[in-house]
Amino acid sequence: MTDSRRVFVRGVGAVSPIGASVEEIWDRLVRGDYPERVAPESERGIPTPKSAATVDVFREELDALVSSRSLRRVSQLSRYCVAAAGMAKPSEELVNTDDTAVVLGTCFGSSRYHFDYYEKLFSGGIRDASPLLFSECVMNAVSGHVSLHYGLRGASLALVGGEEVGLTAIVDATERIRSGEAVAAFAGGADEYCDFVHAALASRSFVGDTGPCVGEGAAILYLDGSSSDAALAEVVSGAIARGGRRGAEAAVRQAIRRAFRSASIEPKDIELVVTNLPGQDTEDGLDGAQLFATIADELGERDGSLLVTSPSPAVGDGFAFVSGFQAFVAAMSLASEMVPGIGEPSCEVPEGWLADREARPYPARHALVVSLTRRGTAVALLLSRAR
Amino acid sequence: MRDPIVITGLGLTTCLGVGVDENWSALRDARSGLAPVTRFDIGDYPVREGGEAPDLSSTDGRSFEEAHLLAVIQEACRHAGFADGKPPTDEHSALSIGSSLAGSSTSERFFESYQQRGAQDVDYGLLEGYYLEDYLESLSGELGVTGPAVLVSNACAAGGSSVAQAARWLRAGTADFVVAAGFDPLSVFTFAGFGSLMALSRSKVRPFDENREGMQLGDGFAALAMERLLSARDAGRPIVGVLAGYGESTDAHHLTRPHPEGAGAALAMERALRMAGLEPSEIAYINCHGTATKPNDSSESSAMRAVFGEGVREIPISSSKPFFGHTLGGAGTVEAVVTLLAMKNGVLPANLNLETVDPAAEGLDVITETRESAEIVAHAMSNSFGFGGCNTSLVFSHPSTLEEA
Repeated sequence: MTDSRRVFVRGVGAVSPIGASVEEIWDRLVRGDYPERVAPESERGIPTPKSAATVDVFREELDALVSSRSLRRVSQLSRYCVAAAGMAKPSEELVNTDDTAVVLGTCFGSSRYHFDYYEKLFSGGIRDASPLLFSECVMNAVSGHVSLHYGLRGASLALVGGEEVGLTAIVDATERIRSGEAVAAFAGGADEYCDFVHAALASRSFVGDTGPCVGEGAAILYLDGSSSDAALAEVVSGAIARGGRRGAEAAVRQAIRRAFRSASIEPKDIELVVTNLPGQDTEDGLDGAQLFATIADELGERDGSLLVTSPSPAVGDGFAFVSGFQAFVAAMSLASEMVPGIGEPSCEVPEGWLADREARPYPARHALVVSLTRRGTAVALLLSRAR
Repeated sequence: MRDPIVITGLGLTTCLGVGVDENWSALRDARSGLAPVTRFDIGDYPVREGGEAPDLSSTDGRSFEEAHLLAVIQEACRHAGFADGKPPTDEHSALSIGSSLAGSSTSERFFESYQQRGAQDVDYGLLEGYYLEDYLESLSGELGVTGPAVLVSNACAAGGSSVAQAARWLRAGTADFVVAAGFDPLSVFTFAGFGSLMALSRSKVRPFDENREGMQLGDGFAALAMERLLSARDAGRPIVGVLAGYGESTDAHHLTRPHPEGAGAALAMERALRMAGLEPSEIAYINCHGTATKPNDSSESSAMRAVFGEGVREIPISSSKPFFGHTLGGAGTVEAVVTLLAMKNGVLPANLNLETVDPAAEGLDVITETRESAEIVAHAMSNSFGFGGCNTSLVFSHPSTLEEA
């Protein structure tokens, strides 16, 4: 089947707090076996919350994945992205590299290098600025390294925003393929743990020892419009909405409605919801239960025909990586007919929805992925089983 | 494009002034706005000049860059006919913003305090603006935009890519009215960074000159109000220009150095021409990226020769960076506005300071003085290239071409 208007998820890749290979990550998700989430101690003495989901325990696996000499001095985040893209890339040689785009969502880019650069600049003065750190800390260094490493000459950019922006990047890449501007794309979300950022987020009550736990990593999908053969899922549609002064609930409703407006499926067809699970309310007071209730209201009444899950208990929250990882989980769930458990739900689940602590076989045909930021931005992405 | 994408409003602030009129007046009169840097202490650093826009110190707590960004968006919306400076407040309006570094002034304020107070006592809340979703949410809230809003970051091509993003949404029906904006402030972060890369000039900025030394940096804020033609006509809005095509590409050569033959840049130009349905010979002016660094200008010259062939000698070209410096993530949008103003007025701004043409640019028609065009500038191109090997080319057409079509 070839249809230039259809877009398929042909591969997924991730470097995450629960593993640095697709097999290990999926195995841990299905088993519900997650490493302890402890924030690295700040070498600068920065007071940070104790909890964070980092990939430190998988550093050796990561080094093995990106051993190229040209990547030795690049930022940790760029290494995550090159490694995750390498997993998502089809095993055969990439064709049409001239028309393959890279669109990565990030909240902070290579923040460790960014702050290292500033520290050096402010302690040593203008003449002490590091050319290496400077060039690596532009936001799009992450997408640039993926394009450079795999020889891709389509558009290459970072989209910068809140934790929803990994999904925004997938919506954007899909539009590029649909419009014919690209034949394929690597798209997803990426962010790295940084003590400065962690302290800054904690100062805004975004994170805390009792609240959500930031999660670093890169989650990237390889999308193309060539064929449904061997695809994990099909991207049906997606939409972005800003809450603005109307609030987060309106944004969630608008994103879902707009996603369905251009879709071949209806709200009643959705059998799986993959959402972020913010442990705190949005700034205008929408809590997790209200988020679920809003989604439920948009999807219509259910009688046990809808399963909800979230990767947040496994990999954390608060970074663009997590929304990219939601798409990873949705695509893998549709392809494997197995859905990871949600762990201990932090809020009440709507009546008629299923929410299992543990993974279960579940042959969902259509999934809705929703990411909501604390500032009230929402993205909805619709995926269907490919076959 | 079936229903052409048109530009119905412009907004612009650089060191040449606040607003389109002040900027155009300086561009037409060949007056550079580059001057000694006063915003931060550069000590005895050998590079002395930059482009500083007037301070719009706002009383509502907005940062320098946020105040200017909002101002150019409002200018573009007013130009398009919205008296309150706001786009239609519904889910069909969208914001596409390009920036390379966006919140750098926030980080600078934080680090000044961090140096003084130390890791334990500094207020980490000072990093608030580093979380760039705040920019989007703050602007969306202020302007009443509830459709998509994204911040595109592909270094110095970001402003051009924000215009491409806006067009993509309009073509797909994702939005009916989009403000495409681009910005970056002159900051110690970029000043020191480009200095460390030996890319800054100690003397005048001389794009395409054999003796060029590099760039100077400047504040740049610009916005384009964009719509589909039919809705713009229905609403009776002014048609400033047509975005006929855009092309994006990547060098896949080096993170910071351009491809020596400009292969990626040529690909972006070819894609823009193809989308516009134009032959290379139909382009009547090119506003070049023209940073005045050795690698950029020779690479761009090669790329233009590859795309336009021998006909490149007939196309007037200029870089606007000697006027206001390299505005980084703002450059693509700032220079798109300059290109549209040149087309509207039939006046091509000069490539200031050119004395000895670089061998790579030999035979190119580099405009050394403001040139009045004898004919309507029907089609023009604006180029932007950046770190990551990113390239974006935009092709604009004069509104009169809509009648011919």
